[in-house]
Amino acid sequence: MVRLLAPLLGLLLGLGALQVGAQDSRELLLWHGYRGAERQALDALLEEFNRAHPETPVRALAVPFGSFPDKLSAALPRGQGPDLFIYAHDRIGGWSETGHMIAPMEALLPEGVLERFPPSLLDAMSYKGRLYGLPLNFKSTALIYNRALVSAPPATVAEMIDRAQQLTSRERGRFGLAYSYTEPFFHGALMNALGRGPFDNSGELALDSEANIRSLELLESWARHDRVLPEEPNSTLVTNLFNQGRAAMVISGPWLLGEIDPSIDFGVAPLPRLVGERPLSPWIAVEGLFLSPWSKQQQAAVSLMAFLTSTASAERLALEGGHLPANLAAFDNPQLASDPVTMAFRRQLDTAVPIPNHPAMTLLWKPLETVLKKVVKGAAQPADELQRLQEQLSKDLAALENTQRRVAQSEELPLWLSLALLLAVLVAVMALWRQRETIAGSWRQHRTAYLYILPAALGMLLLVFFPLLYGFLLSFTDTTLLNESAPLASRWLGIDNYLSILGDWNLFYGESGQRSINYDNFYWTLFMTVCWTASNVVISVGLALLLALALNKPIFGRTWFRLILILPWAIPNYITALVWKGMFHPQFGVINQGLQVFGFAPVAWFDSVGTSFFTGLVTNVWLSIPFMMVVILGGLQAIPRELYEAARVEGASRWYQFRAITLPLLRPVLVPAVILSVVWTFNMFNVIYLVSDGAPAGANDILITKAFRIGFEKYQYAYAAAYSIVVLALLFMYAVWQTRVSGAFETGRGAAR
Amino acid sequence: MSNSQVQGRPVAAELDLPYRERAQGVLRGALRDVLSWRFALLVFASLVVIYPLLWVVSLAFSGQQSLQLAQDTRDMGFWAQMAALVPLPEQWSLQNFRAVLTEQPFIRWLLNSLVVAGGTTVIGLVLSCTAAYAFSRFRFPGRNRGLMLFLVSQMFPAVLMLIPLYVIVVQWLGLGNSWLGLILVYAITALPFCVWMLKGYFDTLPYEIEESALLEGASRMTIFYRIILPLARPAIAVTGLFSFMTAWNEFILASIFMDDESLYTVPVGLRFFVSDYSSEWGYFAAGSIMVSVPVILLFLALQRFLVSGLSSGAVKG
Repeated sequence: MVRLLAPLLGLLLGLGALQVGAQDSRELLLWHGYRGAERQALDALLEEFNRAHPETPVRALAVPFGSFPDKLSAALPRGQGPDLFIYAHDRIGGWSETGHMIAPMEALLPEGVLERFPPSLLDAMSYKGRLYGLPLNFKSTALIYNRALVSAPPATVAEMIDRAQQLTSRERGRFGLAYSYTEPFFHGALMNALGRGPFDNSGELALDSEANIRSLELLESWARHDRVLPEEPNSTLVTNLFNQGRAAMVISGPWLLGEIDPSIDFGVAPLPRLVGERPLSPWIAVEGLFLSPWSKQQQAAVSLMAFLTSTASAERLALEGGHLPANLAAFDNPQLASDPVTMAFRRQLDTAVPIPNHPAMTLLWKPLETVLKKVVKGAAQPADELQRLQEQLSKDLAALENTQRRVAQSEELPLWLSLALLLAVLVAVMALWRQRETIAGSWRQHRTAYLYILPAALGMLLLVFFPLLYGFLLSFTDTTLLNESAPLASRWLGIDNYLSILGDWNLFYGESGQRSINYDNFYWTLFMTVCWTASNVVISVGLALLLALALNKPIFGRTWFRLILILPWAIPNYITALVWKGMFHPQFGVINQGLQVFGFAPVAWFDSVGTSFFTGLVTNVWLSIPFMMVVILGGLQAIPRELYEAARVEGASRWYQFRAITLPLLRPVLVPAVILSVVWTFNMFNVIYLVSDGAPAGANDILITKAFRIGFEKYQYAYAAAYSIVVLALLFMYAVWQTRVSGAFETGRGAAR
Repeated sequence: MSNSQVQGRPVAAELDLPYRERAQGVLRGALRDVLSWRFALLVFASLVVIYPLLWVVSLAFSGQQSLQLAQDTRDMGFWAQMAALVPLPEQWSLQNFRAVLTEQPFIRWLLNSLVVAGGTTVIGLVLSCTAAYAFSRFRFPGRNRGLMLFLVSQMFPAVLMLIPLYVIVVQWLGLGNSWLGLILVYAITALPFCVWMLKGYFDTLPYEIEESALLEGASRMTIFYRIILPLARPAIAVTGLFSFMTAWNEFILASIFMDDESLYTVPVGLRFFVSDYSSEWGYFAAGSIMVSVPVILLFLALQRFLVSGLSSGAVKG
């Protein structure tokens, strides 16, 4: 065994050493999220830069959108990561408050660079008076219309809705207007037209302002009164409808252009004007070039930024990469200036508003989306709902800002705490010392066993239990986005997080007349999690057992069945989960279509707690059966066939054989599989997040998705850690009980004593 | 479960019969199989499994980035309406596959993934087989607690482990930007399941063989290596497949640890097609199908370990 392993490990270590290789210290590292044509245009520019500046060669690294923010926040605060990176501007506030993520850069800029950009885009890149990056391009939405259905773009909103109503035929699945109207990014156009958006003049949160309430009422009337919008929109659906000529007008951005079917003759125009008010003013996301505070070559990085935002580079990125350049001089390029589509987006910039880069903005996306979804379904009144959201978000914000203030007071680690820690260590050492004889004795006596376990145990200690300890400590602090980099002592809080989780008895909200369940409540979520876990495990283990038994004996076409039945495990579940979500779409999903073929009424799957739960359940069972089936198939191989033969001779029935032979002999394999699948299902993040996403209004969130939302949508890291520790404690209690009941700790038959 | 099926099928003795009668026997057996409840169950299950996958396949082969929406079928007859439920692309095209293969170093990333997943499987199996053997065959202080600790490690949500794992692997061990770091993390992640599963399986193996081997002076290592491991092949196949899959589809850690595009694994490459504004679902579907091919091949190679036992004497299988 050892002979076999040593060369293998050596090989792996060698591979590792080879790859780490020395990095050129003069190199400039640039991270971006581009692919396709956009990336090729960038690469060409970087090559040009490298030819002109051989002393500081640029190396680019593309990072997928889904992991980019995680990668940045893992690397940058620890002094790792790139010299500069390209990212959207709306996180500047949070990053600047965290510290160690981005560096202010106005001092390093060459003369005249700032004049390239319009003031609104420079504002977007600034926070509290400091400039944190150079704008590279902007992404704005505009009205894209099908010329075959709409000859000229509407000038006013009333005109747009009128035209849309004429073109809508809900039974035929045709719509006058389609856009992702439940996403706050798109709804911003209405909020900005009627008022100042989510924040007031002084930068305070003002979601329940008159204007914001009116914006929701306006959307509600489009969706519920004029009925010109499709249900449960998303960007794929909007693209689809437009490509099939089933949506006459859509509100979308330049990213849609590449996907429009060549047979569709389309035009682009700025969004129309509200009668007597401003035009609809969409939010824009500005992609900027940011500087790492750790870069050793900040000056060189800034020259690269200046190069990439120069007019020549901007023209190239626009022409080859489809950018809407932040350097507006590029729009004078004859080829761009003569392109009506590009110029329509350029005109839209004049009325558009950059997304506020206030840290509070990031807290707003998800809850505002929930409110929008409720309002367009008629499940809530705009005014009430916005007031409730304003209250709740103000509370979350105050909690965040409190943590920052507390750090500013910079407390010392309380004396009693350091003493307690010292005492605990002393007690542990003494206990170990007193037990040294026993420990040494048991080591000598059971050395073989310990040696067998040692490698696995060491790995677990380092890569599992250390991170767990980190999470455990974190849960006793008040760490949030805003005080993340402060020393631990000044963040120490004690058990407050646990008290507020377990002491959350606000089971209902609202007056007694119309009380509704508070879906954010811990105990509701726990209840849902238990239902979710129990139903999933029972159904998937039951079905998997049935299928494994059916497959265990020869049958015509067995190899094929076996292969087909493991497919859901083999295909990345990210896409299959989304296919299931699409199948459950209330208006365009095949499941409802199938129901209608058989004469049933379609079901609004994501509108009620039960049906929404069902969508997740079906998807998860479908995904988890193959694994369970393979485990059981493996276990069935351990059952000697002679037992069945003997039973048959005795005249035992099939059912009796199953109960008396199969089940008991399968138990050693089945019990751990069941325990682990309970643990996994309890923490099954993907399916809930991708399929129902907690719909309606977070009722179907389970503890893990809630912990994620607290940690990564509300930025209360410590609270999320405490949530996770509670999850761990619950699962631990379950595991102790289950192992007791099922005797999972038993050793093999006749084990060595 | 009874073995009446086994009784009724052509057994080895029939092989001596003339070809024609043998063929008839096979045919009779097949017919009986097709009419059994097991067959009906398997057909139904396969349909349920295949239907959502058909959407993925038809998206991948459509050459487009988003699926055609269901047609307006209200005026059609029942069967036409049913047929409209089956997802088929308007025209078949390999464009998506071609694009995925040419736009990205897809093959290179696929090979990277094979190295990482292969390494994970080997290291994971070595660590878990030895540990599981000790848990199954020895009784020692701390045994139950140790088993429980393995379980506990699965109970903490992975998203919150990201930062500490980054600190340990990249900053302390200096294994950032290397496959070894990824392999270690994946192998350890898969370990608890592997240990518990193997321990459960080892428990079912009769102890008598080991006992006599011990009496004849064989060492523990020899017994483990020569007797236990060969007997436990089905469980090793299952845990190996599990370790492989743990590494195969993971994307967050892989993209956070790697600072060099030529070292990315294939799930990272796939995620480039999904972004906030627009997603190339056609590319993603085509890539997903290509990614699942090695898994299917691996399963085909392993499946003989999962179906030995009862069927060993049968002609088909």
